[in-house]
Amino acid sequence: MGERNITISGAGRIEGGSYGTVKITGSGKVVGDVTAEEFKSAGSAKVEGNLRAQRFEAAGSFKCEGDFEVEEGEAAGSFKVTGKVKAKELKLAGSAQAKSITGGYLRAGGTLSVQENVEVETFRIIGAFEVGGLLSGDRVEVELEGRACAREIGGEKIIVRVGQRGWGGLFSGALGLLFGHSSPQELTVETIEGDVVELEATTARLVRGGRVKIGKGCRIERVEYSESLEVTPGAVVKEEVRG
Amino acid sequence: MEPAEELIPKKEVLRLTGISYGQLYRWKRLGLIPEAWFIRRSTFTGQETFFPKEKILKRIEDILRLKDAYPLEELVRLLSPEVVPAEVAYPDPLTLKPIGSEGRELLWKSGEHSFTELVALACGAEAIRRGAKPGEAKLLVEVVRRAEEALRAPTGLSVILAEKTVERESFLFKAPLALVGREPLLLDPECQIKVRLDLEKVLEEVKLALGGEERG
Repeated sequence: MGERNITISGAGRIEGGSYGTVKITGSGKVVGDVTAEEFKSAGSAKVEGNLRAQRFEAAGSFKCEGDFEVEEGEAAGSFKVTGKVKAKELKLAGSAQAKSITGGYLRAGGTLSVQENVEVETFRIIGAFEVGGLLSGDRVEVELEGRACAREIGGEKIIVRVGQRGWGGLFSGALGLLFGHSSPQELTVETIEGDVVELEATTARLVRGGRVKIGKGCRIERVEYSESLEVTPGAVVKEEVRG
Repeated sequence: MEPAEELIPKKEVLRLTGISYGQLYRWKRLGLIPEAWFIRRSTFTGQETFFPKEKILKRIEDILRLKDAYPLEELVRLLSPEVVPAEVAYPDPLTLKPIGSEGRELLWKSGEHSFTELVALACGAEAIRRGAKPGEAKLLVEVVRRAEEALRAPTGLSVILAEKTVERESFLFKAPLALVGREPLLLDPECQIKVRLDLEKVLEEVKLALGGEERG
């Protein structure tokens, strides 16, 4: 582990390498791969390479042009990773982008855009998202604030709800603008598979599960269930199959 | 020619094995079920996920059998063919089940064998069990031994022992040939395939045998 600590305040750039703490206040750039026990930035930070850190904190704008791997991370503002994201625990607020995300606990508030798969133990989002591939977790909990889409969602327990608009606090402020509160709150997905599936405002071709609840605002082409199915009046399910 | 690998739809896998969606997705996330086995195909109801039948059923059976004895992370190391254990140095290949006594005539050295060498011997031994002559099986061992790089991503790789018939001045010669390659493999019509092995499967068997050994 690197013992050197390094701080950029104002504007500056540092070489990649192994550090104890990297602290950027203002605008900073890291050239090359960097490993740190702690990476903290406030303002604008850019890593031109891979980043590995035990703890990560960014406020403002953060960009990594490589893979990003942390034990514990928190980002508020804009978080962009060109490569893969891997984290034991990651909390994102604002707008986030990555090629793929794997790990333990992922919580996001705002918008999340992932080109390939998101595969974590727990996925919680309040906001909007776009996942190009599979979104999977032991628990997937979505509170819709805006449009969301994924190719597939799968896991043990999958819960999709419509968010409470006009919330006080955090979401009535700057983040409310990011969600584009005029856009509809809905999820579009090809397939959802889970042992427990509870949906609202979801359009899907196929929903498969053990215990399935189809709530208001859903349009599902086909539901296949093994234990139970509840369909709220008004929700559209074209075909139900047990077994 | 052996037929192409049979595929099985995801739903059928769950029905046959009794596992839950939660388990399937968790095992995929942990790498216990390789990404490459998830095959998306169009069907009349839209896109559907299929698996190579024999492999997925075998894998799930292995996971179910071993999951109480090992932590899941350990199982990944044991079962996942994407990870080649670089640290393997095994002194007595003939005691490993996938090699066995058939491997005796294939040994070219004594002492410690690397993982790649063990897989090579297992391929040769399996070929002998399927009727190949020791001389031909040796050829297989030679080619797999040198395929260390390919063994890191073995999905879809076949090991083939074939025989080519050559005519020289009205005499017919039969020459054995061995190769490692990714399916679909095409050989000229004068070649007859005698043994075709799924490299990934052999590799997993060697891993399982080694894993059992470490525990015992």
